[in-house]
Amino acid sequence: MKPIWVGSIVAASAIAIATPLVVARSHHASSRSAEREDREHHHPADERRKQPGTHRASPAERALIDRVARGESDKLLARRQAALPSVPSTTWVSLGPTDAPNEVNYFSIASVDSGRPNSIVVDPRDSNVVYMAVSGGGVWKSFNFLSGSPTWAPTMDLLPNLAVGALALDLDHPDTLYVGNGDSFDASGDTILKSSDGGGSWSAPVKLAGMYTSGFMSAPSSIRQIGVKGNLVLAATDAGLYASNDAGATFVLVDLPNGAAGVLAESVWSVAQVGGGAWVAAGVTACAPGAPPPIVYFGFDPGAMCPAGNNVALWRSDDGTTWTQVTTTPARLGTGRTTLAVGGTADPAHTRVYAFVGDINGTKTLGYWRSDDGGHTYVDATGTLANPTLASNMDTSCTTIDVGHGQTWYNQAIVVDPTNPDHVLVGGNLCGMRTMNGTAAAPTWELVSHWLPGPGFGETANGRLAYVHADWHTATSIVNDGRVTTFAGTDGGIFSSTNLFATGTAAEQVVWTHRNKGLATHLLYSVASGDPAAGDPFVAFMGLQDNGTRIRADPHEPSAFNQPIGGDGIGATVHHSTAGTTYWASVEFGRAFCKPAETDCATELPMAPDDASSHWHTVTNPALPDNEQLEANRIRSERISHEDQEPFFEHYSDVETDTTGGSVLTHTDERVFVATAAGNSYTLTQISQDLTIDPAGAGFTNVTASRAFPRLYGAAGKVSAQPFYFTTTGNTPATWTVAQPVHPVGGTPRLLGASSIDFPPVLPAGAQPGDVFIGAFTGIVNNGMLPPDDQGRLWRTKDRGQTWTSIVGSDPAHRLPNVPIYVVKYDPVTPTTIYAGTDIGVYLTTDDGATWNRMGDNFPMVPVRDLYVAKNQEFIRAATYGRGLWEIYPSASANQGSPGNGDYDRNLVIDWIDVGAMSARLGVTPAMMTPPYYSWILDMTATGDPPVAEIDGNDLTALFGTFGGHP
Amino acid sequence: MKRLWLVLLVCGACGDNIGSPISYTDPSGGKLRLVRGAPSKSLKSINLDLVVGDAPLTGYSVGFDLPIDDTRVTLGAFTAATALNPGSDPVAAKATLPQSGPLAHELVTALSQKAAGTGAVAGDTQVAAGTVLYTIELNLVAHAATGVIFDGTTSDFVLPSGGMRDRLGNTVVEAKDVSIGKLELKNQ
Repeated sequence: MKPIWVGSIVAASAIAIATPLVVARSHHASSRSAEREDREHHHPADERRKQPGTHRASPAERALIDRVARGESDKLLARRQAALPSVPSTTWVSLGPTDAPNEVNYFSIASVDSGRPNSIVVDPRDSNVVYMAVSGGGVWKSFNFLSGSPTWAPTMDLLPNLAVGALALDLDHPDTLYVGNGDSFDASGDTILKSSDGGGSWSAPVKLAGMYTSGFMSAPSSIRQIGVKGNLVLAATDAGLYASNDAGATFVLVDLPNGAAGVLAESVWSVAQVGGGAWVAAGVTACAPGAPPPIVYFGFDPGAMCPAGNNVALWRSDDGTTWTQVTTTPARLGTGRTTLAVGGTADPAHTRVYAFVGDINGTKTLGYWRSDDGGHTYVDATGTLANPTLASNMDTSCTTIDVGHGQTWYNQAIVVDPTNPDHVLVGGNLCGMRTMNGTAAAPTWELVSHWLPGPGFGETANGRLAYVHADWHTATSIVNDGRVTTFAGTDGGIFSSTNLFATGTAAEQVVWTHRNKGLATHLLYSVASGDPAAGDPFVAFMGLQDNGTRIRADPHEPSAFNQPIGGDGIGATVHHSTAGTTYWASVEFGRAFCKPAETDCATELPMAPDDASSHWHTVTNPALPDNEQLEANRIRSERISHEDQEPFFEHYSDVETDTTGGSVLTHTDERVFVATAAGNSYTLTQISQDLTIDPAGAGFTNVTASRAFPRLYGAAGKVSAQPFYFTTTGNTPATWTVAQPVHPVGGTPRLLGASSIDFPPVLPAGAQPGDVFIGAFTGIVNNGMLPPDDQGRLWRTKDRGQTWTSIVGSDPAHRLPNVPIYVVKYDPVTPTTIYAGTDIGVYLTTDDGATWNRMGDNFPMVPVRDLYVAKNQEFIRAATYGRGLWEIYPSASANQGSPGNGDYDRNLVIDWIDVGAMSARLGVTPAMMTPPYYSWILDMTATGDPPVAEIDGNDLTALFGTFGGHP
Repeated sequence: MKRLWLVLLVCGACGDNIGSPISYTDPSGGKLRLVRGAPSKSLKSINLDLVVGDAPLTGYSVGFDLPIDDTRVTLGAFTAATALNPGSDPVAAKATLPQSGPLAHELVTALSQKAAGTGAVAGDTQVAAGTVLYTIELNLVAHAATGVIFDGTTSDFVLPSGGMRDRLGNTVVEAKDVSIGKLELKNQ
């Protein structure tokens, strides 16, 4: 998530799209194009928009999803225990990414980046034992963090919700962990789970819900931080502070005091111990009694109801039970999200507390505050920045003390050296910054990391800063063998430093090391795939949240994916034709293509002087409004439709039926385009109506081309009144037909959140293309009700969108779960087979929707954003939002996926159960259709060159190498 | 023979090597049982057998994790029988007594048939009552203090993990049906 540093250039270079736009490759260009800079370095709107595809469930829907997910999780556990047959009888393989041998974001980056951590905790008995909670992938554990290349193991893959917002370790009982479901920015959750064996097993989730004394209901959707002391467990949530006095068995809402303002709901960001049993907390309050706490979003202040803004409030408690609001602070007016960090607590009366204070709109850092008296009072400690990046840099980030930059609502991290309260680290949007004299009246701060160091980037007067991925979310410092180790959790994963606070170490000499190999925690939006029918089944790449486009490069390392493009990777597709194969990738507001027959698409040329020298080439985008106008358009649409809008993110759909040309569909919020070959480049032609000023606030959120019928294209719509669109005129511009709304409860209420449309490969007798299609939804009904389980969120029309019939099945035991569905695909061969990518995995019907079953074994309970089904049914690839890329295939020769660790039952112990499970599977490959099925986690060693998936004697020997220990 | 009967009559831990400071009391009942094995060649060692109880069992793999006081004994030989054939290259059987990690101070044992490789057995095998599945040798630590090494006979004893499974992973014998006796060190 990057700044807006060339946004104006983009706007200036925008070209109207009223007529077809041809952009030739600029072979003679002497400098990089602005669009290329945009693609490589950032995306103008950043997190001002919500995360794409994010579905934040209402309390009622959350309860529904939790219930359904729990049921499915129980089935998974039962299946694991009893080897019950899945449908079809085969298994999923994790493809990673586990490594990135080559990362480029304009510069070559000597790092391997992974998904987004939001908590990092370390076992005080052994610094090798590190736990990390990630946004969509649950809690991961390393037993050998201090080694050169730590290994990581997932601990929650079989639990109902892997969306995690917080993790805490009980320092007095270090095997006791508390994890809070619900990430602040992505998937929701409102439960806390406990482990008493270091993540080997987890308790049933405990739901948080309460009521303020004003009568306002508190219904958390995210848990931001957890504090533990003895039986007292405190949880900071987006709907207030919750406390447990029975070691997490039950929680109650703590109605924090609001002074003269009355009883206000709070959005609490931080809670921390200051010693002596005392605690501090920070949050942002509601505007008025009865009003909800502020939402997490660019711009906390929703309007006239809150003329003075939602300002930060700080609280203190002597015992964690009775709280008082802190009144002695720097000016609070205009403040917003604030994150606290506490120094050593040996002298509780003088514990230092630091606060990273954002502004009310979440767009900049207001300053840094400090308490010298254990949180009773705060003073300003903003100080000065000693080593700003040079004004001569091409990159203007990190020139001031505002490291929160444009996104203080999204990225805040702060930590204090436990051995010295003068030492503080803050991390924001693009840079990390330390002070070594934090207790001074005006501390001196120094940059210690940069998101994109290189020539002309991230350079101070004293040298170049070290790389740490952008968007800091958490930081932790521990003492190991007398040396302080500091961890940073960013949108690119976990980084650590052992000399950050070392006396005499210049800021530019601070070393950060990534620890992300083996962490398949990536947040994927889409997957692009080669195909056996085209002879390139190994090809796989995808668009990732702030981890660009990652592409598989080497059959000898089949779970390693290079990064040829940085930023937010979004759409991805492959187009095959007689004219050649083209790969397509995108970042927000940018599109790029690569011709694998001409160049190495798995790598990008660092510091390419121009577009022609690059492996991936930019296609000039359709004319776009500037950032503010885009945001205004979105808000306008929401106000018209009164519906939550999915933001603009470019998806692609390959037009397979164009076997001689280069047609690929894409879209903006308001229009659908087709890319067609034009010389060395591509033309983007608008082929739908323009919904920019649609009176219903309508727009497009996804696009699909029929795999069987030429000229049959469809799109998902932004508003429930116009959920889907289709055309039968192909690349010829036309007004696309609008489908009627879906009414799951009868009457006029409409189903919200159309997400995906697909067309059958074979038409019923007498039907014409466009008569029949299916549509999936992520949302609930627009009257606030949940769709009934027997109606669900997958529907079919047989009359060109005039009427709809649910196809979720009637048998409750074999029904498509009533959870958000992000993608739906017909099988390309068998028209009665349909695949649904849901909030909790992939589901399959083989009888045209009459019955559904969870597809395959071994798939974690994660959202599936995209699917690719091979033309000959040989494999299916699934893009998950939190657990990377997965593949299921009935093949004995397919590539091995992520190396397993042998822990079949995922209890972080290798014992007789794992030996039995592996021994029973010796010789088993994914091709085997009878149980016991292949299990990727038992495939520990590579077999063959390149390695194929098979469990063999080498795996058993490897397993015995860890027998009696941890994986 | 007559003399042996007398020994059995007066021996609280039947089968102990006469003169050995290591005493083991066999458990009663249990679908799988850890019982005293053949007398050791040394008075400072003991062999314990994992055997099938009174009814035959059909399965593929067995094992258990048993917390023990490893200040008094160390793990000696681990000998897999062939009733459930663990094959070879590699042998799908092992025992360990780790000093650190999540199973520190637990006797961790496993044996399984193999679905492929040398000695492969494709399906589950029925094992007759009383059949020995594997033998664990425990060696006395010199100068160890007297006391209980493990005691599965107490009412509050819970075996953390153990049992038998079939090839598909179905539980044939649960941990609660694996009976463990009492091993103690008496005066050396």
